[in-house]
Amino acid sequence: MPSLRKARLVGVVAQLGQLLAVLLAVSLLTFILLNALPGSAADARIGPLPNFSPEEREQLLASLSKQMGLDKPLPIQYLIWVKDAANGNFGLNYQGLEVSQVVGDRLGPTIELGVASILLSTIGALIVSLIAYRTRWRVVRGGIQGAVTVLMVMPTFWLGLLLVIVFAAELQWLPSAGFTSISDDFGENLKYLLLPALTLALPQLALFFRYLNAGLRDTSHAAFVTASRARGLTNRGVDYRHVLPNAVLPTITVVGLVAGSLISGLVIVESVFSWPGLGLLLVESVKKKDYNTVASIVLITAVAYVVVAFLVDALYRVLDPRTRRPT
Amino acid sequence: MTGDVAVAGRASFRSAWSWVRSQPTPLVIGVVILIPFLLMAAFPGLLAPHDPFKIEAIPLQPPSGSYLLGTDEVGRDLLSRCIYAARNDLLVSIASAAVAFTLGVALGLFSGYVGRRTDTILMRLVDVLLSFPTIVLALFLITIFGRSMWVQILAIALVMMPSTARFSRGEGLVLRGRGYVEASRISGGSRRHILVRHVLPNAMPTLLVAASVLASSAVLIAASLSYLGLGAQPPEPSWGNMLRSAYGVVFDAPLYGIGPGVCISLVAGAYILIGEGLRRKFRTDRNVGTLGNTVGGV
Repeated sequence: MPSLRKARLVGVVAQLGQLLAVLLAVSLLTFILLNALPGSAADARIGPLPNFSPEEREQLLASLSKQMGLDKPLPIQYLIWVKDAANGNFGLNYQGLEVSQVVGDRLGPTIELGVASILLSTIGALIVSLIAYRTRWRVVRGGIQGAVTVLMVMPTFWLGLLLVIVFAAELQWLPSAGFTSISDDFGENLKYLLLPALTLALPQLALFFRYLNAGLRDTSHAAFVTASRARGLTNRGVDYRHVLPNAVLPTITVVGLVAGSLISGLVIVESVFSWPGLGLLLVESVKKKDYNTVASIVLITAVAYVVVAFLVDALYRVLDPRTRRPT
Repeated sequence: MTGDVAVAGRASFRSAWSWVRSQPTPLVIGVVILIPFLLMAAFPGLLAPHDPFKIEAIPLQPPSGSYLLGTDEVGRDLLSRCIYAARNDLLVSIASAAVAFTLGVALGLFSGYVGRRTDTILMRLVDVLLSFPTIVLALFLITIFGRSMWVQILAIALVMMPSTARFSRGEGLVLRGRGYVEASRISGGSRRHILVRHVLPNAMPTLLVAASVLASSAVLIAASLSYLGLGAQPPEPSWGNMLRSAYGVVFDAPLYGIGPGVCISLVAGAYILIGEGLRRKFRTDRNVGTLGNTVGGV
C-alpha cells in the first residue's frame, strides 16, 4: 500500500518539523530571558577590575563587546548564539573556563545516576504492581497503596534524609555523600550510587505504580481477558501474556516524561548527596550568578526533554499498532 | 433558660456534626490536618513555646520535655522554628498556586473555548513552557530576577502555570459544546459574558480539584527551593532550610529533620486529600442542571 506508506512518511516529516519548531522556540525563550537581565554579558565577563580607570574599562568593554558580537542587533546575536550552541560552544563561565567543558565533565555522573534511578523505579514498580494485582490478601494491597501515597507527598530531600539516617548514620552500611568515578573503582562507585539512586527512584516508583495499577485494573475487565480465560488459560498465563503487555502501554509515556524531566529530581538529589552532576552544577552556578552556565544547562535540559518526548511518542507508535493509523 | 441554650447548643452542634459527617472523608481529614498549620501561620507567637530566634539551650539536644523536638545546631528551639516557618511556607505555596491557577485557568479556558488558530498558537506556547523542567526553570528565573520572596512566588507560579492551562483548556473544549453555552450565544451573550458567567462556574468543580494538586506541588517546590538555599534566608526559618541544616548534623542529631519533614508531607498530603474529597463531592452533582444534559444537546 504505497499511499499508506506515503501518508506515514508525511506524518513523520510533520512531526520532525514540529520538533524543530519547539526546539527553536525553546532556545528563543532562553535567549530572551538571558538578555532580560541587567548589564551586558561582556560586563559580567570582565568583572569589577579594580586596577582599571573608568576610561580603560570602557575601552575594554567596547572591544570585548565587539569580539563577542554584542554590538550587533539582538536578532543577529540570537542567531550567533544558537549557531554556537548547536556546535557545542556555550561561551565561557564566570571563571573564564569553557562552559561546554565544565558541563561536559558533569554529564557522565548525571547520566549514570539518572539511568540507575529509572532502572530501579521501573523494575520496582513492575514487581510491586504485579504483587498488588495478583495478591489474594487485601492487607498487602492496602499496605502497598498506603506506602505509595506517603511517597507521593514526601519531598525528595526528606526521603533522602531518612535513608541517610537509616543506612548511613544508624546501620553504617553506605556512605552518606560523595562520589568515586566509575572508571576508578566500580565497587566504590556503586556504593556511593545506591542511596542517591534509591532516593530518586522511590517517588518515581510511586508514580509509575499508580499508572501501572490503574492499567492492570482497567485491562483486567477487557473483553479479550475474559475470552482468554474462557479459552482455558491459567490465571498466570492471562496475567503475564495478555493483561500485563496492555496495561504497561500508558505507563511507557509516563516513564518517558519522567526520564525527560529527570533533571528536576537530580537537582535536589545531587545537592543532597554531593553527587558531581549537572544538577549540582546548576545549583552552584545559580548561587554564583553564572548566567552562561545556567542558560546552557536550561537549554540542554529543555532540549533533552523535547527530544525524549519525541522519541517516546515514536516508540509508542512502534509498540501500539492502534496509534499507527494515518490520519 | 440555661437548659434551653444548652439544648439549642447541642442541637446545632449535632447538626454541624452531621453536616461534617456527610462530607467526603478525605475532605474532612485534609481540612483537619490543614487547620493547625493555618493557625500556626496566623498566630505563630501564641503557639510557639519559645523564641525561634533566641539561642537559649545546649545545641543539638534530642527531644525533651521543655524542647519537644529538640534544639538546632546553635541551640534554638526546633518546635518554635517549625511553627514560625509555617507562615512563609504556606504563604509562598498558596500565593504561587493562586497566581498559577488564575493565569492558567484564564489562558486555558479562553484557548479551549475560542478554539481554532488562537488555540493552536496558545497551546504551542504552553508546550514550549512545558519543555523546561520545573525546578530548572524556577532556578533560571531566580538567577535572573533575584532571590526575593515575590520572585520566588512568581517563579513557582510560572513553572506550574502551563500544566494548569493545558488542563483547563480541556475543560473549555468540553464546555464549549454544552447546550447552555450555545443558548447563551444564540441569545446574544458576548464571548466574555459566556466565559465568565457560564464556562468558568461550570468548570470550577473540576478546576478546584486541579487547584488542590497545584497547591500541593507548590509546597514541595517551595520547600525544594529553600532546601537549596534559594528560598527564605537564615535566620528566617523555613521547613526547607531547616532540613538543609539537618543534613549537616545527621550523625549527631538524627531526629533533627523529622519535624520539618513531617510538616511538609502533612501540608502537601492535606492539599491532596482535600482535592480528592472535592472530586468525590462534585462527582455526584456534576452535570446536574445543565441544559446540555437535560435537553440532550440543543
